[in-house]
Amino acid sequence: MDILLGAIVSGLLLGAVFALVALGLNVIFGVMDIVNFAHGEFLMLGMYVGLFTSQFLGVDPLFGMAPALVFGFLLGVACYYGFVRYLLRGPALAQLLGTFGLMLLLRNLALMCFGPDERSVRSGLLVGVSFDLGMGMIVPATKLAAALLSVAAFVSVWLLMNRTKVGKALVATSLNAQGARYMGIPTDRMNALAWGVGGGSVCLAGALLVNFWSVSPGVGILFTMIAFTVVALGGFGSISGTFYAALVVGMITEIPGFTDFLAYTVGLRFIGDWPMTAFKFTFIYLAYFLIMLLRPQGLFGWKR
Amino acid sequence: MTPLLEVIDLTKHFGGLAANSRVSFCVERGQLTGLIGPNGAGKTTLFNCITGAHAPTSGRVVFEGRDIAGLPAHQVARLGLARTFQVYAAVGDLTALEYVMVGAFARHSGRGAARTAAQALLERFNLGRFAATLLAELPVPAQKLVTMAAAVATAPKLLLLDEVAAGLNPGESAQMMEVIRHVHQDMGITVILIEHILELVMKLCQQVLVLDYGQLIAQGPPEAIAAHPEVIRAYLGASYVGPTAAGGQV
Amino acid sequence: MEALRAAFDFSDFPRSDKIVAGLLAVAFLLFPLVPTSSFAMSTMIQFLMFSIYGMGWNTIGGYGGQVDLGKAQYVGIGAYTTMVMLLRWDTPFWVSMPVGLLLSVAWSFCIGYPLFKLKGHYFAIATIATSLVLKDIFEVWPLVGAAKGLTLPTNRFKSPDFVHLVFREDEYYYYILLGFFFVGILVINWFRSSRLGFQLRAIKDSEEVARSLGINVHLAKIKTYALATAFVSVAGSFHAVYVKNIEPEDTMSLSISILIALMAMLGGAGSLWGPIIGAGVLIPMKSYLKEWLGASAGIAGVDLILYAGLIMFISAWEPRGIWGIVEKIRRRRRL
Repeated sequence: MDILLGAIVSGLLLGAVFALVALGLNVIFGVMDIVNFAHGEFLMLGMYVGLFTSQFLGVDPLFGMAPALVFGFLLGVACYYGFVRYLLRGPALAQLLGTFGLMLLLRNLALMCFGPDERSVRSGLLVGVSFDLGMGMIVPATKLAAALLSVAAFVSVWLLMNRTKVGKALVATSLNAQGARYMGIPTDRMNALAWGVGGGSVCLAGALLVNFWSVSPGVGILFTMIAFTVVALGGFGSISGTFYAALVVGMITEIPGFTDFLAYTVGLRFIGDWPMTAFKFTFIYLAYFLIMLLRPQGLFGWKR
Repeated sequence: MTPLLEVIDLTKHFGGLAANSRVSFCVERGQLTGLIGPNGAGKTTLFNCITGAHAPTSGRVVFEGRDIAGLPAHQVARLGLARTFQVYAAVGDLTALEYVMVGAFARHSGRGAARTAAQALLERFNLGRFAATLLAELPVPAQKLVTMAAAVATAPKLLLLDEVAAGLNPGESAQMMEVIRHVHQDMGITVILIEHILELVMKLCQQVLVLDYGQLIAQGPPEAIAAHPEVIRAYLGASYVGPTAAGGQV
Repeated sequence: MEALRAAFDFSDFPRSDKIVAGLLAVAFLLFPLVPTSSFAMSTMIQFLMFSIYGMGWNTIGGYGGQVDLGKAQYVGIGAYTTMVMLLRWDTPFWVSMPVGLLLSVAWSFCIGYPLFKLKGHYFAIATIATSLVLKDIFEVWPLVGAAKGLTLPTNRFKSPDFVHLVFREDEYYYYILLGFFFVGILVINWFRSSRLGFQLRAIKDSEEVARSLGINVHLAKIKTYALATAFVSVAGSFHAVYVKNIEPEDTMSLSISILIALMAMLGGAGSLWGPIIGAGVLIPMKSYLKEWLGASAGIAGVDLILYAGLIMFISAWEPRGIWGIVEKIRRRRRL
């Protein structure tokens, strides 16, 4: 029983962080219909920023949030003005190619600067601390803190989008760029802002994630896929949908936990002796596939 | 004789909006029919429902005695129903000849045969000199002619033209009229055309259908349509309907 | 037959192109006779292999405009089929390669049917997803050696062995691959003027219009995808007997899929010569960068940074790739 509860809690906590990871992708896509293949790479860089903040400044890694946020925002805006803006006038194929190239660039720059090895947070206030929530659910404090902070960040962005003037301008542009322009909302600046918000939030997520997930230059693609699956499930364009979908996706990574539980209690075995943990992320890829086939508009979004 | 196309009670809803509402009409083989109506009346939607681009919400579309409502668009095309599109921007890398060949491939499986047929058609449409030019680089009137040629290359029995004369100056319009007349009379293809240039419709068509707010408000020969009070009301407003407007221009 | 005649019909290319192509073909044929380093030879073999991968990708990705980032899974199916059959039953290459091809094509039909209900970036991501799923499966599957992969023991077959395609000298591999390369060009040449090729190009232009001209868009895409798969699988089988040691990480990784797509797009997706040009630029660049900057640079991905830069440049300024630039210049000159 505790295996099951442990799996559920773990999945939910992870899902909370996934929500923040996926948020940026949704914002960018909502505002300018461009899919950022480099999204996972932004996350990866955010993770490094978080890591180095703690290593060089000697502070708890959670404080890496602030520099990561700023870094992500600036990186997003820079990418927009420096490159993405020129993709907009080309065909969709070119846009795909372009953010793809950006992904390669960032990934390999990181590889060149940081080397291929995995690194993780080693010291901090919460490292090594765990909370016992009873019934055998033991939760690492880092994960819990990251999840809570992610939720806070997510809500902040939601508030930004829905309660502030700037945020509403952003939403307006995503619904109808031309109409927004007639109202005096500068599309170019909105696009840059979208990239800033998107980049900032995902780098922030990275700084939180690095507390319990090791980073290497190649970690990006997995999170791009996770972000895509989350946004696909929640619905491109729906921010609240992203949140619920992220929780579900978080739980998907815990499927090995569920199958273990089933094996233990009911004696049900899947695929013989193959280690289910190896398929942790395979299920996410499968999930993406299934979602796109069965319900492409996701749970809450609209068909684009 | 069974009509070539019979549309019965065709209705198409988009959410709460009735784009087409119980539209019924027939088109006889060899007829040239015009479809007119104010903007937003549902003319292109009607074409879409007939050709399979959309599935109608209810109603029937009978082509050569066969129910085709809801069939996928490519199957409808293969049955002999071709169309052009109102809004189309060429982005690919096909030349004019290659474009028409795509249409020709619907009838010929060999590339040699398709090429010959396409070339002949381009000549007929007086576009021979554009054969090797990229479609995207042609002036708009020529593009429209090429897309029409491609549709004709599928050897259709019925051709639906969606505002092929839009944006043309009077000289180009006259050319277009000649091409349509040629396709209709010399090639024996039944034609339905959506047009805003009413003079073209009145001159060429044997039957005119008028749509307004998704409903068919009038159908008949051009002279009758021009004097039809509902048509006048739809285009000019109720204040124009009356003895002074009878027999006047629409 | 008309198909054969069409495959050899290069008449729509200007004379200068045909002369250049002819000279290059002769150069390729004579290459092994010129004394060069074994390094140059292996680079050439890589170039030919990636040209074949790229040509396959080009059918669906270039002419069809459906960017496919999951081709590596077919490299894997082709390579592993050949390797497994070779190790277990001493199967000749000329038998295992077609078997791999059939398996690959069968798989491509299975996932192609649902895959092509998606478009654009959704499609691209889905191809990544399927490729990664397959790779994950191969990484734990005992039959294919799991993560460790499979290795052909060096003394198992005596070189030169034309049946199992085991040779000690690279020259043999080179000529056989060159043969595949020329056949591949002919197949693509046939494709681009065939009915299917025209259908794909119309689809790339506008799916709606394509349907109105009687094209079954879904079916055309699936068929072309199968063709692309065939190319990749054949080259994959060859890869297995050439390197004699395969594992999921270097045969089926996302990087391979990306490289394949990248080369075709850089050289000019949607043109006959594009993928070859792309491979011709990127493969030597990759190899020689590794040589000059040392092995560490190769691992550090300096070459990929250059690729990335190139791709970004191309996508923003000339999405039609190098060949697209060539054609643009030609058109301007003609006017």
